[in-house]
Amino acid sequence: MRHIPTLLRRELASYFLGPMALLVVLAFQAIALLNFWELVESLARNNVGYSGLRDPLNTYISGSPPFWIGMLVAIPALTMRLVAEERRSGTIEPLLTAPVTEVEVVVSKWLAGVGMYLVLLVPFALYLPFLYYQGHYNFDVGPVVSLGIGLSTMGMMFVAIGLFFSSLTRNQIVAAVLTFATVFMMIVLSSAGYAYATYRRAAWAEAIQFVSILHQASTFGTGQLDLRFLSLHLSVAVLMLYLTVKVLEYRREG
Amino acid sequence: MSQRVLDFLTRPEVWAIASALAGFLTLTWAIRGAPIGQATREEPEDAPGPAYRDRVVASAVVGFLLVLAGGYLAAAVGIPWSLPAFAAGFGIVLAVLRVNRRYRHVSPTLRRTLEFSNTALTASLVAGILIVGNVVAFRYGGRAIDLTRDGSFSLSSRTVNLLKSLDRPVSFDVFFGNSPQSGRQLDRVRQLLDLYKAANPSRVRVEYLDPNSDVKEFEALVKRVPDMVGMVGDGIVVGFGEGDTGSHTVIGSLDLFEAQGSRFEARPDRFVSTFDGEDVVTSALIRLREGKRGRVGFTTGHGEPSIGELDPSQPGVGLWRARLSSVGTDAVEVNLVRDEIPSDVNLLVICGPKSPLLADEVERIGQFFGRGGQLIVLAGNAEAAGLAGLLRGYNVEFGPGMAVDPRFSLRGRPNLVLAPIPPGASHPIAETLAGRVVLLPGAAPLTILGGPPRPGEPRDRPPGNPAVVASPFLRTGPDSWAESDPDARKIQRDPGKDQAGPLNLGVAVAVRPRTASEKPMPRLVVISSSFAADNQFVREVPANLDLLMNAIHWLRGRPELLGIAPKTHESLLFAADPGLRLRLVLVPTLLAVVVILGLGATTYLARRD
Repeated sequence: MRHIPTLLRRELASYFLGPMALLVVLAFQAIALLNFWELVESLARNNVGYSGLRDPLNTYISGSPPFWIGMLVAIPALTMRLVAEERRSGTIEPLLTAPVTEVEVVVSKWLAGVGMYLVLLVPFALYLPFLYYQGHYNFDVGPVVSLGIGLSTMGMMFVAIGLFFSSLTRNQIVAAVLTFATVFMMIVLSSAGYAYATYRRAAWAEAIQFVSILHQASTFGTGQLDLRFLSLHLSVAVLMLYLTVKVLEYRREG
Repeated sequence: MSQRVLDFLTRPEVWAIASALAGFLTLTWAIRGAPIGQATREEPEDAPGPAYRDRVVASAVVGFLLVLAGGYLAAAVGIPWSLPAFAAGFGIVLAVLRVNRRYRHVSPTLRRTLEFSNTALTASLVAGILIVGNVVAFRYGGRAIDLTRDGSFSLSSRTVNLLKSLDRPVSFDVFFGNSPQSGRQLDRVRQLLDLYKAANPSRVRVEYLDPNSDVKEFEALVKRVPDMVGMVGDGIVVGFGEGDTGSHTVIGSLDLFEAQGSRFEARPDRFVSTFDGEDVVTSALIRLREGKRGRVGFTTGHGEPSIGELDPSQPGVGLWRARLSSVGTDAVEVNLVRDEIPSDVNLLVICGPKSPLLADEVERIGQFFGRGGQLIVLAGNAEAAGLAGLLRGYNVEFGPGMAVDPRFSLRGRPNLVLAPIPPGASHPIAETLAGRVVLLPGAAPLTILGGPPRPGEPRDRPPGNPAVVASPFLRTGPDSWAESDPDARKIQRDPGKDQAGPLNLGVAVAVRPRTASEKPMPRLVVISSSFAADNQFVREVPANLDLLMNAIHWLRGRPELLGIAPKTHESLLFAADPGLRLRLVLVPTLLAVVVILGLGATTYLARRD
């Protein structure tokens, strides 16, 4: 594991030395701007509530369609090149023949992806201290912390999925499409499936609700830090990283 | 016909089998290097023949699919059903690995098969461990960590223990209308009942009804629970048990919410609501589990406020009666001039009599005490209640004057005294209300006999009754005093005449135990305001009702019913002018854009050089 810092620097440099990452961050900044604008207007309206469930701040990110659409696009865009690009350009061979293990390669790429993902969340978080201190709006910080933790582990899972698909192919577009399809299924189809299951009063409604990303985000957004969701995210991330290591081992031997 | 086809296609088994078939074909193609039916590449002469290789590939793929099928069966049918599939799948994959290891250097196809088998085996094991871990976490993981400021997603340990120990099913039929307020209140109720269900999913059932759209279901509910007839507004029917042995109680939304909180708490930039739901619902459940309804007698015949008046804007104690009813206690009127106190009434309330009780009535109360009865007195000294002698026997005496407090009072009226309950209040009646205030209009100071006199109290007080112990649980603030001339135009303390605060406005009396092993027996609670339970003041300061309920539970020796602290939610309004709102949006945005563009420019320049 001692090579991870070096490999991580290499991966982060490859993100930030190109225009792609900055463009994606700019796009997220634009989404955050619109979201925050909407939030400020909502908070200024008469807000009579008996619980935090309808608090606009609780749905600031978790209930924002532009945020999730942005995620659907950004995650494949950020992860598709992690391994596929190296395979296409042939730089994977020198990397795998260097005295580094597949685990180190995979973990460093994953950490770089997660780092980049967290940078995408910064624009959304940036406004809140201004609202709290400058606007003297003493909102409940707990739900924001809970959502931050939840979105972070969610990102770890998404990046691991993207990394796995990137390792399967040398074509970045194929990797992006596979990642998009999987993340779309987790974000959109799971919610639609839950709605259908509830309508049909199916026994599996609770199970599909448990894996629905939007439900998880909404739970985190209301201030409930459900460790079961964190466990699910980290489990999927570990499994995907393990499979990615196996794919790279297979490539090295093949 | 088409319906039958559709039904067939929507069966999960069909999809499982179709997916398995597709998986088999795809994986076999991937490992063989050619689809089934097409010849594979030539392999060295010492490699096993193509038919053998195809059988090995098919076995490995079937083994892997059996492992996946085991996972499906475990999720869909049950773990025991999955065990044969897992055993067969892992057995086949292990056998393929063991038997064909010797060919890994001579046959590329078999080497791929072995690598696939090895990866499938370890990946299945890793996935299995993670899935089992998640299933265990899902089933036994407990509640989420509640990070909200007002603890909206937490239940008290008392409620959790009650729910976990349920031995019969509990149902909550929630009926809320579709007005905006009902919708918002329903959110909070749903939040609470979700926690109840999560605490014991197998015993707790929650159903939601809209009386306007679910008309048939609502009518059936009313038929099943006649107490709902005549009820105004939204509420919850709490059911305990099933069938003929089941029992119900109805909780109205008026009992659940303390609406806008107290007016003096209200600020223009926030909407404060206090939710008593957990206290009310848990108390109702405890009562239902006990299976019997208690009875509390309210004396009548001396101008006492009506227990039937439910209108919050009208004088009466109907709201208190409704709260009692929601926890399974019936309120009955008792006219002591005419009737004996019923034998099933063990607690009597004397609330705001306008004329003194007669000697016969006081004697009946004495007899009531003799049979172990308990008493709550809500009376001041403005009108003589005729209870002075009785109370003196319990070491309580009304002092002269009226409690006033220019600092802690409602709407700046000193006679509407607010008694703050300090954090760390130790008496059980006040303990759960720490940090709140109780409104006691026109209250009289209470003196406890037997103890050392306090500053300003007469030194020649009569001795106290050593058999009882009186403890104050409610006091005015330090700036209060007992105004000897409450009718004066300007209320001002006269140090020579007026007793200085803090003044006792609530005293609880218990009979001393005879032996050290026994506990004191609660007997009497005196609150020195005739209006403390009045509808109008209870709506104004809801803590009054909680205090009265706590007094009842303390007298009955029911510590488990002593109130669960209510949860207060604040909806904040962002009262900023448009200029500030614009600055809040633009300043961080410009800052972020400058940083991003700066980073981009720096990178560009560095790379160009």
